[in-house]
This record gives sequence, structure tokens and C-alpha cells, in this order.
Amino acid sequence: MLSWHRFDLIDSSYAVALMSDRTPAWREVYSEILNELVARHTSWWAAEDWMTQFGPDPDRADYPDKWRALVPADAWGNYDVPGWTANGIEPYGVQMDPVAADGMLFFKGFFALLLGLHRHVSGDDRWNEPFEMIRDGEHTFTWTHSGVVAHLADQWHEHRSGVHCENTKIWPY
Amino acid sequence: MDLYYDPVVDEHVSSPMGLIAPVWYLAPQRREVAESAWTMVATLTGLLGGGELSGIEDPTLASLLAWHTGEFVDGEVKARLWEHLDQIFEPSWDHDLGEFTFGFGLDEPHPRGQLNARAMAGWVCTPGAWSRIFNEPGQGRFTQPTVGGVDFPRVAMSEARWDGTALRLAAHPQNASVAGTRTSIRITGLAPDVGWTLIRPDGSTTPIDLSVDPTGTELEIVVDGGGYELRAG
Repeated sequence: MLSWHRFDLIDSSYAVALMSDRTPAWREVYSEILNELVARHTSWWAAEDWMTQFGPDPDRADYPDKWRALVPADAWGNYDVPGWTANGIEPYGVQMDPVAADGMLFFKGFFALLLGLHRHVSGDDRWNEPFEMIRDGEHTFTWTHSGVVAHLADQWHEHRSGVHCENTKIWPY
Repeated sequence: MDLYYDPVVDEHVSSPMGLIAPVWYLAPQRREVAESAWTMVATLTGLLGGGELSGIEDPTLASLLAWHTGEFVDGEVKARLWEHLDQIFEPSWDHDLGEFTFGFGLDEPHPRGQLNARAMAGWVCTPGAWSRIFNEPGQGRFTQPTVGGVDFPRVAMSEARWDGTALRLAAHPQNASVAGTRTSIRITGLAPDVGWTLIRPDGSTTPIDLSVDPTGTELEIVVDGGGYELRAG
């Protein structure tokens, strides 16, 4: 569930931010790398799972045995494994914007962290200007750094038990 | 500990990974919880306590441990873990590019990005450094003297920091063909109303005329790791 394209982006950002703090008077390269990581995270590919995994996983009756620990025992064979985002299932229905969606916390949360690391290193608020995400015809969504974080904060306030990552799954992140 | 909770079917799926996986994210917020989880894994794998290392032959778990360890410990414990990584995960230097990667035994044409990124976050992290990003963000650096125009990747700055009275600089070469060459960098943010002096690694000094160019004052330095100081007065 943490092996999608976007996790190359977010996981790469940690060393970059830490290296920048080792040379606080030289940040230009680290700023540019983080800026490019953010730019890639706005693309369709960053949300490929959400944009392609609709409804229940058609392969869930054929999961390998080693995945049993990831699924409620009583539901084995009739339950989506973590990593299947299940856009469209109850209770939320189809929601194409991965940030606005009720679920997909692990998309918007890590994206907010990446945006924050870019701002921390660069001091540049360029991502607080409106930018487009996904960019797939009608599935083009406009956000800002502050807008993403404010939306996330609202969702946490409204759901004290947590926000779904994959639909119906709340993780301790 | 929950790995996750499904509120629709009211099911809790438990796993130690529910505590281990969020360690990096918990550390800046609930350090004691994060450190307890890291300590548990480090103890079970023999990293703490001096036992034989075990259970970290898997690249995913090993890179996770390497990643998290940087935030909590340095010295002998960290060195022991990295010795283990160097022994079994195909460390590789591309000396021309100046790039280091692990192959992780995956037999892939390109080094795996996610696993290498995690390990490198742990390598560059010193205890508490990740937490300080969030709790001591140090915004002062944006108004202090700053280096730009570095000929990266041919040259990288291995030291660039304002210590309150001087800008301390050192340049690192990408490869042997660059070592010892001269390079230009530009400095911005120098106070205009004081004189500035460049102190070279050999102790020789040169007064610096501040440029009125908004891109900064140009300095020439040698790319050999030697320490320079740009000092007021």
C-alpha cells in the first residue's frame, strides 16, 4: 500500500530536507529538487490507485496466503486488501478528486508533508498560488498548499476516529 | 496495536507494524512513543543489546530500520547497522557521478528509489534532526547570508552555514576530475554597511567588495573540502 509512484516522491523528500538543514546557507539545489517532487505529485500518476481502483477489488478471492494477516480473518476472500483504494464504495461513492475525497488520507497527508518540506527548505510560497492537480480533462482540480492543509484539518475535526486512507480503512498515521 | 480499523464493518486488524510504520511521523509529535517503538524493533533485531543481528535480511525491514535509526541514535549502534547494510545489500559507488546506492539484491536495472531514499534519510539524519525540522524550523536562515550559483552537480557545498559572525563554506567535488579545481559561487544577504573579508583554508585573507548586482557577490573557491570563512570587519 506504500509502493505507489507517489511514495518514491515523498520518501525521497526526507533525505533532501535533512541534507538542506546540514548546509542551511546553501539551499538552492534542495529547493529545486523538492519543487520538482511537488510538481510530480500533482500529476495523474501520483493518484493512479485512486483514479483506477473503483469498487471492490476483482481479485480479492485470489489473494496469496501471505496477505491473510492484512485482512480481517472472517472476511478473507470477500474483503479488499490494504492498497486497494476502492473509489466509489459505500459510504462515500465515487469521488474523483483525491484531495477533496472523504477518504484517501494517505494521498493528501503525505502531499501536505511534501509541500511543507518544500516550504521549509525554500521559504518559497509558490505552491500557495492555485495549481491544478490530476489534469485529466474534467478531472482537473485546483488547490493551494493552505487549501489542502485546511481541508485536511476540517476532515480530522469532523471525524474524531480518523480519516480513511483506502476507503473504509483508518490507519494510526 | 491496530494496523488499521475499518469503521464500516467495525473490525480492528492488529499488527506490530501498526506501531512500527508510523515511527518517523510520530517522532516530531510524540517522541517517547516513537522511540519506544524504535527501541522495540532495534532490540528484537539485536541492534540494541549487542546480540547478533537477525531478521533484517529483508530489504524493506532493513531500510525501514536504517531510516528510523538515524533519528534516535548515532555512534556504534548506527555504525553496526550500516556495516550490516554494506555487507548484504550491494553497496555501489558510481565515482564519476558521485552517487552511492544499494542494489538490495533485487537484480533490477536501476537502484530501487524508495528503499534507497529511506536508507539515505536515516544516513543523513542525526539524532533529533528530523524532529527539529518541525519543532525548531530556524526561519532565520532566510535573512542570513546565503550561497547560490553553485555549479551542481559538479560541485556541492559540504559546509555552508552562518555562525552568527561568519559564513563558513567548504566545497566538495563530484569526482576526482573536479577535485582541486576552482569554482565560482555567489553570496547574497551580506550586510552592506560593514567590510567583509574572505579567510582561505591556508589563513590568507582578501577584502571583499560587495557587488551591487542583486544576484550577489561572486567568490572563487577551490573544490577540495577546505574551509573558508567570510567574516565581517
